[in-house]
Amino acid sequence: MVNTLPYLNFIPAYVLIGISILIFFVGKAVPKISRLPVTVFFIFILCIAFMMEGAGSGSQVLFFNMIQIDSFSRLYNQLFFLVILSTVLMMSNSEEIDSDLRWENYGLLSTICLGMMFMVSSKHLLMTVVGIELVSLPSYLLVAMNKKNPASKEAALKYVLFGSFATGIMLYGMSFLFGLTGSLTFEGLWNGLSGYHILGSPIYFLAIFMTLGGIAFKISAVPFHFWTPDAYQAAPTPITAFLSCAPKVAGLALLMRFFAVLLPEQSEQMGVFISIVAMLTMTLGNFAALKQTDIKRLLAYSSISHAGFLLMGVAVMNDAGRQVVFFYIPIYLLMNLGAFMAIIYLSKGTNFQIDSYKGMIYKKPLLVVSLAVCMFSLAGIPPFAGFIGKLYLFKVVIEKEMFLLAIVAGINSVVSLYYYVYVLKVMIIDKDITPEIEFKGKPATIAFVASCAVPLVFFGIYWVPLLDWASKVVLFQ
Amino acid sequence: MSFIQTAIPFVPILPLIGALILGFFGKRIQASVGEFKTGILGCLTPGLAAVISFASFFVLITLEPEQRVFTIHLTDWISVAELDVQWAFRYDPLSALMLMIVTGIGTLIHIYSMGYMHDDQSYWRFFSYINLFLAAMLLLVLGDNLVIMFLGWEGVGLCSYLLIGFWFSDSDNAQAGKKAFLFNRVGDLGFITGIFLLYLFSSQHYDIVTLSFGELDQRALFLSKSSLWDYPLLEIAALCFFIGAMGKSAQIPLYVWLPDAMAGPTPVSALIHAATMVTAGVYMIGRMYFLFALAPNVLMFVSWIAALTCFFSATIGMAQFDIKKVLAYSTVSQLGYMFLAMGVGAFSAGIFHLLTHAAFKAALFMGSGSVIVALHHKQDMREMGGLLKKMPVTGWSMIAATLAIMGFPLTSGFFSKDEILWKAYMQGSPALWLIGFTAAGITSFYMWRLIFMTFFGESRCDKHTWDHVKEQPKRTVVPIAILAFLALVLGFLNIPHFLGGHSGFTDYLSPVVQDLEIAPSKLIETSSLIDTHVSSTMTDESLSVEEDHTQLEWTLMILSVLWTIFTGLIAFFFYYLSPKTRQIIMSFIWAKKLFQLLSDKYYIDELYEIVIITPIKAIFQICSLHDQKVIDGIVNFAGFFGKWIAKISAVFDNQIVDGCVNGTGWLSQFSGQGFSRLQSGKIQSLVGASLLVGIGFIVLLVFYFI
Amino acid sequence: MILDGYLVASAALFTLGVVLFLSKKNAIAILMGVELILNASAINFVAFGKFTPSQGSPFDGQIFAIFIILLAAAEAVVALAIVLAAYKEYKHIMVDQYTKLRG
Repeated sequence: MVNTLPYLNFIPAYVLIGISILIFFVGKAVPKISRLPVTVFFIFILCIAFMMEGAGSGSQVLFFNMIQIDSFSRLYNQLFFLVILSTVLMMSNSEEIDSDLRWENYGLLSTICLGMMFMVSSKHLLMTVVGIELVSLPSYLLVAMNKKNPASKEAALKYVLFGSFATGIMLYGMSFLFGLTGSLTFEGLWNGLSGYHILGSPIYFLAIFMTLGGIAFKISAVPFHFWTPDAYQAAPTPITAFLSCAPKVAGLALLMRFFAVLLPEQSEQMGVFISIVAMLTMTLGNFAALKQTDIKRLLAYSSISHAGFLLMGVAVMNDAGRQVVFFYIPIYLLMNLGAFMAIIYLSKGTNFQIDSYKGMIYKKPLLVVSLAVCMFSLAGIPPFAGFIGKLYLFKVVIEKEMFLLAIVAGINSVVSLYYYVYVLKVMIIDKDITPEIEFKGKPATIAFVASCAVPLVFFGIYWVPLLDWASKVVLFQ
Repeated sequence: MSFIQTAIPFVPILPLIGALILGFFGKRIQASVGEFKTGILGCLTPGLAAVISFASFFVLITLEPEQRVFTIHLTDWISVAELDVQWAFRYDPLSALMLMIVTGIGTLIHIYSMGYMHDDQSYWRFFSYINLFLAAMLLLVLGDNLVIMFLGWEGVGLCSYLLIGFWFSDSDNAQAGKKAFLFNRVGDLGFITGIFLLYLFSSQHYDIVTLSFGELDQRALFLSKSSLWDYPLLEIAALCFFIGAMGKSAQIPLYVWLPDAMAGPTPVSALIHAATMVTAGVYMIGRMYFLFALAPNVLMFVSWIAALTCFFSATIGMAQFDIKKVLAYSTVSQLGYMFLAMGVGAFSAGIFHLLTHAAFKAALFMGSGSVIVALHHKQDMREMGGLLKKMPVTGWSMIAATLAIMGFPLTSGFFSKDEILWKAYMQGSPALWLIGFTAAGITSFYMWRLIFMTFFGESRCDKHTWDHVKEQPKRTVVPIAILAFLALVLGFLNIPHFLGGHSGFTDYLSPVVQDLEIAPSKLIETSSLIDTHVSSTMTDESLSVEEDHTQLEWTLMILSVLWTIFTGLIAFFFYYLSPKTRQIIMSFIWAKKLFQLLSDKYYIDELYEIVIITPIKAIFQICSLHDQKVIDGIVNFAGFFGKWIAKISAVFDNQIVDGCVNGTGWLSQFSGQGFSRLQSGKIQSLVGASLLVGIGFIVLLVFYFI
Repeated sequence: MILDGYLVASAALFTLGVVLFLSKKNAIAILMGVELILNASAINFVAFGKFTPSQGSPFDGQIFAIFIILLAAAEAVVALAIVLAAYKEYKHIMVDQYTKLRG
């Protein structure tokens, strides 16, 4: 029997988040503790965890080949802490979330956080499953937390059914992978499969596809994207923003880990496969978004199409691609979080119809301008950071000579322009006919959105720091 | 880190900070601390930048000439493939000079604007824009590579647009802004094409391309061997850059925006459209003289375009009545002189004229602005006259500046213009000299016409206005007086050899800009010999030639002095001594026609309307027809096609799918809505859809890879 | 030879699960379908763990199966909680009538 307790020294942040889960779920029952300022406490924990990950170095394999700690996992974990931090800020500004349930909500969020950390550092199918489920289960519950919109229960039910079905498919696929290779680690898996791609036996594709299905569900890629619009529309807006960022990023990171140890022939095959998925995902997301009238649903489809764009970086299957994905992710987080935050502030109760935002520029000019920066950046218009991100994605794809993918992505960027600009048109050009409304949001919200917009402009002009950061993302180092 | 390396980055950053503060918080600042203090805030950052510029200059001249080039690297910027563009500034004698012009005159004009913009609602907005302009202009001047220069180039274009249309509620002003913007875009296309060409060819031969001027200087000779479509590459690139300069510096055929740009506030005309931005083209050629020196044909083209611009705009200036329009055409004409100097290879002479012109033209514009304000925004010279008594400081300053621009002996214009004309004669051709010489006389004529119509004779404005005319406050007239003084004395910086001077200015620039000492015509013949910019065999020859020509130089100088005084006297005669003679001459039909032609600017605007705008509108028409007929046709066809597909798939749904459903049973839940409405909101249909798509995937992959 | 028997059994279970999932209207019955799918994969894991030579630890498959059982329990808890909440809102749990969100 191997004593694994010393391993915990290498993963202090994981331990910290794990302890915080316990505290949040138990703490509410203890009368003295439950009166403490829990938000401050959570933010404090996240900051500590961020610093712990920042202090780490080196590459380590822990817990019987299950967890791989390297610069890849550390940098992604830091991103997760930042996203959760901003989600906490958004939650405390939102009216859709019951503030009596703060303890539970933060507990669920830290559970998701731990799950995502497992996902990015997983190198074993079991860890993959545990990570994905730790993210999924609390997500179902968080979607149902919207006290302003009864449809959130319906959305959560659909989400949980779809999710558990996807999990089932994934497990069934994994069982065949295990049967074919006798191994559960990623390396052993791909080595064991090395003969099959030539034979092209259907069971091989069936197993791989079913396994990838579970991950595709997390990043809402075609064909496991159907839950996205419903869940996003009815969930509390901070949760929507969170779901559209963090689990998706974790899923992508997991996918890159999964594909990191491919043999050359396999990587070509999987590259073609992922690029098909990427093309379908972005096309479907964009075209479906064209007809939306609800802004949250529109952003849901927009996030589907962005998953497609990010998959471009995965499809090239090399270090450059992985770094470009990491380069694009902070930009994506900034623009997505900024857009959702602005929407929370501008919304009138549960009404998220685009038409209800007419003439907002005259009421909240600074906020709408910041939102416009986020939207333009999402659409990939220079000089905003989204453009640079897309540029680099195109660069790696073209260097890999995947021209069809580049062309489809190009067409999609043009199409996406339409619906982003349409939203802005409604806000800026259309005249408002409704009477004055009271904005209940706090001024801090505007500061938050502006602080998302400013880096987008800055990185659009000067992106070297981001590039430096992304170049540190190397697997197994 | 020396003082220069530490301090220079702050020169563009300070005005930028000023612009941002005033842009974002200006309204509140103005509301809380008042107009005057806002103005002080606006002047503060350019003032500091000016102090730094002058201090750096004095540090610079203490160094040995060969140590006077600094490259201040701030950070990396664009690094893709071979391209490695950095944020770096270049501080050398040329940019030091430009910095002093831009910040020095800029500061004076800021102070002047505090008076001029008095009582304007958007006082803060004006200062924000003009600070932003300074930041962009300084970026242009300091940029170490073409990309940063282009950034500044576009920045000043933007600010020019914003400031021309500053009073945008009047649609004429907004139109003028748009016109300036569009004409500048034509030029910018040339500039950016030039950058692309240089990058394209450098990247074929070198691993790293930074596009910095130092690097281009080293590689220019190598690049001169490349060719594009059988033309030498450098000729094409230089032509592209010159097209850029044409747009920004208002040369034929892109000059028409500059006179219209006078719709902006007068300080803007003085700063942007006379002293700094419009000279950016000249600066750019000076900065890349090594490239132009290897493109003799382009230089010849430059000199002829410049000479023609110089002459034609001067003639138009004779027939204008709007005081600012006269000065605008005069600016175009003077820019022509600068490009003439550049075109004949006398780069330092061109830069020197840039310096002196900045002083006297800024003084003239600010003087005219002061007159305009005193007359309650009347710009027509026919309603002025006799103002010297009421506005002595403005009047005498403008007279001093006029002496400078006409080239009166020992004023700044005398030295700079004569240098250019002499170089045009020696290194260009006598024809170029003749055009420049004639234009100098015309300059003198229209400038004295302006002075006599404005400041002398009887007042022609109405009584009420006349009674209220008074000299402007100190913060307005003191900057004018300073600039007028500079206009008189700046010439002593560069007294040529034959007058017993040392050509100090040319020596000062020599580490970064060297003149071509041979005529472009000779250059073409010996282009294969040019392995150094100044061919050594030529130098000896030209030295000996110079000895022989001292006599000629004196002759030409005296000729032009006499000629300008003569035309000045004609103006004196016509517009002061005996206006009747003028009226008699004007009554002749040919004189009327000529005057009409000149005052209507040779109908160039109308020509553009017919030759360019009408065809473009016609193309728009065709495009919209194409949209209506062809595209709509395609769309309708697509709709029709889609309907058919839908019908087929409906048949498929009804017959085949339903058949399967009935056959297998389990498909029954979702087949009804399955294909037609994927996102039906029913969870089971959704899962079914993903299953089906997934199975489709697997089948596809199996067939693809087997 | 015996492996085939397990695989056929698990495949049958999986198919039944999918059919149940797609054809039932009651949320609880749909969840039962999910449980069947999960159990099918658990059977697979155990069978493969016994019959194929493992590269890692000899009990990889069995351990995985235990995790699947755990997971199924957790999922059932969460799903049933949400079903309860949805029941409070709609007064029924017929999933095919939950169509507020669509488009």
